[in-house]
This record gives sequence, structure tokens and C-alpha cells, in this order.
Amino acid sequence: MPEKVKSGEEYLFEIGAFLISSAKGCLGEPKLYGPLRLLTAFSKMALLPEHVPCLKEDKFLLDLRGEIEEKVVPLVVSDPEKFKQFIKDLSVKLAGEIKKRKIK
Amino acid sequence: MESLLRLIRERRSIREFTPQKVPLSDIEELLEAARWAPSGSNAQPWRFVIVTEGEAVEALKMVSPGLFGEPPAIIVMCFNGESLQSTSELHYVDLGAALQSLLLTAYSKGLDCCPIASFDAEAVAELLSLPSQIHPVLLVVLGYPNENPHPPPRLPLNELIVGRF
Repeated sequence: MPEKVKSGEEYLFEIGAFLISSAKGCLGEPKLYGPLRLLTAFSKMALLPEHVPCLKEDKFLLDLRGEIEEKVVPLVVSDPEKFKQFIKDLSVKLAGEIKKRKIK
Repeated sequence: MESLLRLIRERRSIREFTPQKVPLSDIEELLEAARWAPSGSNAQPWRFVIVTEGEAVEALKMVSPGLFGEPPAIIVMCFNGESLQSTSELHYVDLGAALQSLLLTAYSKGLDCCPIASFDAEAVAELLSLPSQIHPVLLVVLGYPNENPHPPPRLPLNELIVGRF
């Protein structure tokens, strides 16, 4: 069932529902699910420009999203140590991008 | 026997599905398999909700952080509170037996599933207008597979057998 294109308001509501449900889940779920939910929330946020026409696509964020979508669920299920390393590597990539954008 | 073991070994948890709809008769066949699972004191504590309508699937996704992708169908596995007995924690074992029957029957029919526990049970009960004695325990997403994941590692049998007498 292909996802219909949601309006900005619908998508914002969906992200809000995801965050609140995740917060509740984090009260009792395994510790690593917290980072997993944050990364999934990031994935959803990176797609905001698809739903909000005044926002421009950010290729860096979309590339990160692609990596996250491909890797996090298999890693958190099968290899928690690699999952942790994946997050550390993401933060290094992010720091590099911040440097490129902010420090001339 | 060999073919049953093959099904058990080859079945994977699938989260990415093709858009193809799952016939209701196939879903009912899975539930027919599930209802023949063993249960303590024959309590048969399981109850099911079938969700195939697109807007209802979307609504469940909103309160289910562990539900990824676009499943064409979801089976909500529930406890019936009225059939629970004093050893109610053991009814999770009953539900597990029903789940495995469901998963293997699905796989034998070319369908795949993923049981999901990361969801807001109270919100799901509210969304589906469940009576107060019906408690959602698992969401089983269901459809035709659009991925072919490698099996996660399994501990070797000699590490699992902790005693021989």
C-alpha cells in the first residue's frame, strides 16, 4: 500500500504521535530502544520538506536518513555493539557537516 | 518433520512488504492455526482483531513506534481478561504458542509477519474501541515480503543445554 502524500499538518501530527508514543514506550522498553526511537524520529523529520513546501530538501539529512533506514533495525536486533558504533559514527559525520556549514 | 524444521529455520521477521493485499480468507486461516495452540487449563486466552483498512493501519502506526513500513494487514493479538487465571503470567506462554502457529502457517502460505511489542497498548485499545477485558499484547504485521534479511545469529545448541542427567 503506497503511502499517500500527507499534508504538512498531517505529517506534523504523525511525528507528534510517534514522539509521545515513544516516550511512553521508553518507560519500560530496553535502553537501546531510546536511541532507536530518536533515530527514527530523525528519519521522519528529514522527510518534512516532502510535506511542507516552504522547506528545502537537505541532502545531508536525507543521506543520513538513508543510512539510518538501512541499518538501524537490523543492527539493534542482531548486533547492539555495532548499533552503538553506528551512532558514534553518525555523530562524527554530523560534526564534520556542522564544521563545513558553520566554521569557514 | 524435516519440512516443519525447514519452515522454522527459514522464517524471518519481515518489516517491508509489497502493496499486495492479503485475502481475508488467508488471515482467517492463520487464526484457525493459532486457535489450536495449547494453553494452560485450556484457557484459550487469545483474542484477535484484524486490521486491513488503510486509515486504521495508519492510525495504529501513529501509536506504534516499533511498527515500520506499510503493512497491508495487522493482526492485533489480545488477552481476554475474563479467561485469565491466577497464573496469568503463564498465559504469555499460551500467546507465544499461538503466535508461532500463526507465523509458521503464514510462512507456509508465502506470507510473512513481524510480531511487534513496541506500541501503546492503551492507545490501541482506544483506537479499536476494544471492550475493557480485551488487552492488546502484540501487533503482528502481515503481508507479502519485500525484503530477504539474513537470519540473526542463534546461540549454538550446546550453550543452550545447561544440564544433562
